[in-house]
This record gives sequence, C-alpha cells and structure tokens, in this order.
Amino acid sequence: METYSKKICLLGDFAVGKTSLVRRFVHNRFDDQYISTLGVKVSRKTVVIPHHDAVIEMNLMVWDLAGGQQANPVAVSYLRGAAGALLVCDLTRAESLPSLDRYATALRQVMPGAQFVVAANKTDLVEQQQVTTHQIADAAAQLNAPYYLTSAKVGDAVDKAFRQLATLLLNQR
Amino acid sequence: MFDIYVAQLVLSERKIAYFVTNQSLQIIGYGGHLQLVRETQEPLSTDEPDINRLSNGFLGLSIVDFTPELVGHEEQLRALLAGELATFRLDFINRENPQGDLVYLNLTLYPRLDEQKRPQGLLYLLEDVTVMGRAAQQLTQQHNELYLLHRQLHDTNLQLTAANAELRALDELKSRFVSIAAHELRTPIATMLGYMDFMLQDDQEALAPNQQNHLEIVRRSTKRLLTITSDLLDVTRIEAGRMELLLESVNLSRLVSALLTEFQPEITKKQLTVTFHAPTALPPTLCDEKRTIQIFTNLSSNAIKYTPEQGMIAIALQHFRPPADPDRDGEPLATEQPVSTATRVDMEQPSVILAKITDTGIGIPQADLAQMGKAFFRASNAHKARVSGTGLGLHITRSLCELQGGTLWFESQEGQGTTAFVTIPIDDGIFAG
Repeated sequence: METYSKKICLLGDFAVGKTSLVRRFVHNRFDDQYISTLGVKVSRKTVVIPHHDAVIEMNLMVWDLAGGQQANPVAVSYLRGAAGALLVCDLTRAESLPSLDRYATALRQVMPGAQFVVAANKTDLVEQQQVTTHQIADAAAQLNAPYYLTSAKVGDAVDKAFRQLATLLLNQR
Repeated sequence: MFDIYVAQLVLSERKIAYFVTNQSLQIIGYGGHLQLVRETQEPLSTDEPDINRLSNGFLGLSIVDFTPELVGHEEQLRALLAGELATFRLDFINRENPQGDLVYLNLTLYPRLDEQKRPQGLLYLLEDVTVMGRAAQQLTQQHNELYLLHRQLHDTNLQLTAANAELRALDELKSRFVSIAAHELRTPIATMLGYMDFMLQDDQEALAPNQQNHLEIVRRSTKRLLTITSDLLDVTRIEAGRMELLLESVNLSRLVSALLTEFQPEITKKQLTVTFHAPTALPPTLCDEKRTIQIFTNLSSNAIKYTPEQGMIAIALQHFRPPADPDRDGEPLATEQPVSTATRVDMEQPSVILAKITDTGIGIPQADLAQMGKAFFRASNAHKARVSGTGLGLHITRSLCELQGGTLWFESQEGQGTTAFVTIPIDDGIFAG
C-alpha cells in the first residue's frame, strides 16, 4: 500500500472549534470547555483513502493553530509546508465566515497550491445560528472549496471533512 | 518509528534538553533531563544518558519525525547546516506530559560546529516554558472570552435597542390613539352635559320627578365621563412631554378659598368641618393657575370623598424653605419676614409655599404610601370608601406639581386620616418682565 505524509492546518477565528474538530477527528472525543490554543499543537492520524483502483495510506499531520483575528493574524511560519487547510467558521458567529478568505489568502501566499475544505462548525447549536447554508455555499464557492456542516460535539461530518481534504491532496500529488 | 515513542519531553528540573544531530538530521546524542513515554507502556525515565536502553526507539530518529513542527521549515534547516543561518526558533510547541497535562516548549536550533568552526550538524535545544506558556494561554483565553462577551453584549444591545424602538413606536401610537380618542370624545360629552344642565334648570317643569331623577343620574355619569377623558388627555400630554404650562404670579390663598366655595355643596351634604388657614402676608406663587386649581381640586376632592360624614378637613398654607437634607424638617419662615430677604439668603434652596391638606378619612396603608401618584395605582383600601376611580387623578396631580417645580407627598395612618403635602415655588420675581 502506498503511503504519503501531508501537513494540513486548521485555520479560522478563535473559538470556532478548531481544537474540538481535531480532537473529534483524531481521538473521537469532545470537551465542552473552551480552552484557547497557544502556539501550535500537531496531531497525527492515518487515514486510508480509496484512489482509483487502489487504496492509499495518508499520514496526516494536523496542525492546530491558535485562532486568529484581524489584529493578530496566524503566524506565516506555521503555514509553511502545509498542503491544505480545513477552513473553520462558527455558524453562531456571522463574522467568522468572511474571515475564511483572509486565512485562505494567507496560506496561498505561502503555499500557492494549497487545497481547502470549509467546515461550518457547531450545527448542534440550532437556536443560535447566524449563518445560512446558502451563505456558506457562496463563501466556499468563492474559495473553490467543498464545504461541510460539522459538529465537533456530536461528530457530524467531521471525519468526512478531513477525508475530503485528504482526497483533494491525493488527487493533487 | 515515531509511533513507538511519543515525543514527550519533561524538563522538570533543568528545564533544558538538547539533542545533537548529524548532517542527515538523525539524532546521534542527547543531554539534559529527559523522559520518554511509550504509547502503550509505562513511562521510561532516565536522568543519565543510556544509549543502549534507548537506541531502539530514540537514537537514529529523524528530528523532523521527532518534531513534526519542523515540517515546512526544511529551508531553514538547510540554511543552518550550511552555516547561513545562525539560529532558528519555534515558540510554544504543545506537548502532553505523561500525566496528560499540556506543557509548552520553545525549540531553538543552532549549527553544531567542529574545531574549524564548520557546521557538522545541529544542536537542538528544548526549553520548558510551561509556566510562561500557561500564563500566556490564560491571558489569550481571557482576551478571547472578553471579545466573545463583548460581541454577545453588542448583539444583545442591538436586539434590545431594536425592541425598545419598536416598543416606543407602539407606545407613541397608543398615546396618539388615546389622545385623539379622548379629544374627540370630549366635545360631544361637553355638549351633552350642557344640554342636560339646560334641561335640568330651564325645562324642569316639563319633566316628571322620576325623569328629573333619571336625568340627574345621566348628568353625573356624563360629568364623570368628561373627567376621565380629560384625565386621559392630560396623561398622554404628560407622557409625551407636551404638557404646556403658563407660569404666572398666583395668589394661592385666594385660589384655595375660591375652590372651597365650589366644594361647599359636597361639604354641607357630608356635614364636614372644613378649616382653612393662611397667613395674611403670604408671598405669591409662580405657577400655572389653571393647573394649580386642578391640583387643589383633586386633593380637596379626594379628602372630601374619603372622609366619612361629620369628619374634618384642614387646609393650611405656609411660607416654607425646603431643607437641604431631605431627612430634616424644613424651617417655616416668619410670615412677616420679607420674601426678598429669604431668597437672598438662600438662592440654592428657593422658598416655597407648603400646602397641607389633612383629613380624617380612611387613610392610606403604609405599604401603599410610596406608590401613591403612580399611574393607575389606587390604595388597596380605596374600595372601602366606595369611591370609584381610575388611579389617574393623583398621577396627574403629582406630575403637575413636579412640572411646576414643586413636590407632592403623603403622610397617613390607616383608619385615622391622611395629610397631603404640596409645595409650590414662590414668585421671587426672577422670571418677571
């Protein structure tokens, strides 16, 4: 079986659920408590992706970066070598959606061929949603990226989003 | 190989660990206080280098495998090995220690030089900065939480502002409706009242006794209807800030005397003893005469209505300087004292005329005293006197007092009577001419 290693980043404003998505994807766990990430935390997970008539093993190095904001963007040095990114926004915070373009631009400046998948997170907080599926679809289309409505809390579409990113990286190799 | 050992570095004592690598970036030696942890086995600790013990899982590892945070920094590593870069640093690398706690490490790489100062590999230095990292993390966390709270408050504030604007618009609409309705009702009611007065006075002989009786009942109800519509109109004016006052110099003593004459039929009917006392040299007040009549009409009417037959009502006026401290009683001025002297003495606390209307009526329960004068509020024992009302009269009276620069308050003992206190500013001539 062929094996590849790829670095991927999670990018998005702080408190959108990046760490929770990683924890759900890598350890299948969830913790309701918000603990902001300082610096970088790298986790690894191996996924097996069907590709043409074969299966490929992908060692994903998942970089969970401190959440950004306008005044404090993600450090460019962390983005070097990233083949792709999961762009994460929070369905309960409308301002976290337009920020995705800023993160995508930052990564493309360092890694022009980077692939993206949009994860619109916190689908479980139904009552508090400020962003429509239509708005997410529009934003994802502008980034030329597929999108998923995820919930790190209940696990909805988390694995799919990461695997979709792995597939995009595989197609690109 | 990386999967066998988890790169856990616990630098609890010296806080520093180092690796030495060769040109191919393989780990060839290390120093410092290290603790390696197997993923599935107990922690393996060592204070002393033990190459044989660790060689299977540690030595020979690629430092990029050992430190995945270096992925993407291959160019910097190459520059270090070529002697083109003096140092390379990554801050706040996250790791978990064997207890599962998060530790923060700063990684610094230096070229390892031989005796001729030529790079032979790298010195890989790890520094445990968990204490600083945790402080920085908490600071960031608090900043982020404050930002989120600020956003939440901002959103809530916007929603409340919108809701408030909506309620204000509805309230305005309600006030306009009440105002128009009351205004439109007043004219026909006044006409009806006029014709009823005409029939009762001039056509009395044409009416049978029971017809006269019925007509008198209709007249009283119509008069009450007129009062209610007038009150509603006043309330909407007060709430909208559209109550206009014509302030002028008014002789309060004369005004109250005239008013008592008008109430004489009710006083006689209930066999009440009414006394009125006012000093002869009382200074004039600055107020709207029509609205001041309304104030005293309401208070006198209440005193008469809530006092049982053969009861007593005492009305007294006095020149009074309000106390600076509201807990202290004020100081009545000698009536002979010239008003101009009083105003010169204390311009900050202008003198007023204090009117006291005391009755021996049913009184007001203590619990209700503070509520008196609030719109639609009636004392809980008002039904005992079998007096109907809307709770608007005192609200209007109090508002009118305050609009004129005075105050209205009550003292009462339930079952013994009530005293209403009203202050009206004296006309000190400042606004004249």
